[in-house]
Amino acid sequence: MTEQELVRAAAGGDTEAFERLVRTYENKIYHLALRMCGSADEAADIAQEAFLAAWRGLPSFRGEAGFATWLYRLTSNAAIDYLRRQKKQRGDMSLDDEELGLDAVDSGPSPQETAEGSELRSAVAAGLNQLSEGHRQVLVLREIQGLSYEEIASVLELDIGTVKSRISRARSSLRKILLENGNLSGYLPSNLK
Amino acid sequence: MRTCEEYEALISAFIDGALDDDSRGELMVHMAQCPACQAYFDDQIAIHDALEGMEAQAPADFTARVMEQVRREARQPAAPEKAEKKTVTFPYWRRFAAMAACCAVVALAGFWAFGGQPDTGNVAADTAVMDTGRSLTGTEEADAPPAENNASGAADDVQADALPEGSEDTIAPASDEGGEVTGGENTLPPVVSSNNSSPQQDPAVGQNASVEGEEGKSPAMYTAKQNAPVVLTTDSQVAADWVTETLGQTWEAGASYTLTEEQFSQVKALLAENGENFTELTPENGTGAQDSLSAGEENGDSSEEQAAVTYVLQAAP
Repeated sequence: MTEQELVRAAAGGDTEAFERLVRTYENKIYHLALRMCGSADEAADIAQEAFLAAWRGLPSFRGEAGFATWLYRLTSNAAIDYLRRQKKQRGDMSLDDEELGLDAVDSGPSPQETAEGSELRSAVAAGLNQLSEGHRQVLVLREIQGLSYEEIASVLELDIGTVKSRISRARSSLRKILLENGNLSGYLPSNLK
Repeated sequence: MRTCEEYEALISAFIDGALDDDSRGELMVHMAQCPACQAYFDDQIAIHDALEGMEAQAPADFTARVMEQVRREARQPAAPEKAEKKTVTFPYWRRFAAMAACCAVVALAGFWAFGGQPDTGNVAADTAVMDTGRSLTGTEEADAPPAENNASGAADDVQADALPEGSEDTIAPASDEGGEVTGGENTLPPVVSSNNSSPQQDPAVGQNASVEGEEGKSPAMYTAKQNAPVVLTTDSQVAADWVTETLGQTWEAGASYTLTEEQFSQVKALLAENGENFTELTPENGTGAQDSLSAGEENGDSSEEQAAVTYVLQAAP
């Protein structure tokens, strides 16, 4: 069965077909959720929420964007909802301005990352969590999920020009964080000093 | 001549394999002369490599957990989760009720303006009783057409009933006592009566309102079936964007937007497709369609009429 056939079967209520889709995407979706929210426990909940939203939404899924892209969008929405709920609970931040950089996830690398990854990898994971929501989103979708500019534009409902420039700014911000934390020994350009 | 910041954008595009030959050549030439951009390039490559090697595994029982939930929903379309989604807490309805009170006040003002004299003698005689525990009177009243009441000349009184603070007034399933509206201990005491107040009075949000008719001659009494609304409540940004783009209105927490049936379906499909949370309350799943106001029954104005359904999108507070 192709993915398209699985999607069609799942949309018709076939739970076995849907289970195969879950197995195919579970790591990608979990990883995306983990990078978006920074907490392993919450990531599992967000990923589960995204798959359940997919199950409920499949009957009305038109397939224009492709199943994977749609699933990434659901995950991204679930993660954003989670982050907003967190902020709302704190009650101290704007819910809209993703560019403020105030909404960084307060979480370091997981023990798993620290154990199995290099020092730089752990530092990059921690740096990702310090990025703003918008920057983290595009960078995770691009670098970790491997989505093209077009796919990211579709997931986040942005135009491609915005995606390109946001990725560039996200990379720049991440490097700055790593430099400030002493994780990179590179030369800091004058405009970032 | 590009700035270093502009070259950073080129470096980003280079990493993504999205740089054309000319730009790549230009970047290489620049980096050969600019140690800052060369260092930026080296760091970005290192970051890219670190990110690329990252991989997280979902918990071992992840698929099983998801599928357990999926199968539960597949077996029971009206599973507890969905039933829970249909539950609407009362404060939303209070807003509808407050809106209805506003409309009725306007109608009353019009009645006065054209020389009518409200009968203030029977303030509570035919009070359309609100049972916050099991009725949808908030909805009913929100959609009770004040003009109709006005035309009949019998929309004599408007009351806004304050709910106790912290009241957990959740609308219960239809099975709960059949959704019948009754008086008695659940009846809330009226605290505002517009026949003694200014027609401009703006009932505060968070209050209930009921439209009353005069005892014995209440052609304006209505039943819940009339204009029974279908209400979609959400705090989704998707809905907010839709309202802005399609209706040209500003999305505000607690605000309500009247939609056509087509628009309602469109929004609902949009929310479902985007996996957004929403609650839908219909007369069928709530108690609204079965309910009738006691005063309406007394006047033989039973619920025989065909419902004129209205569709409302509500921004969750």
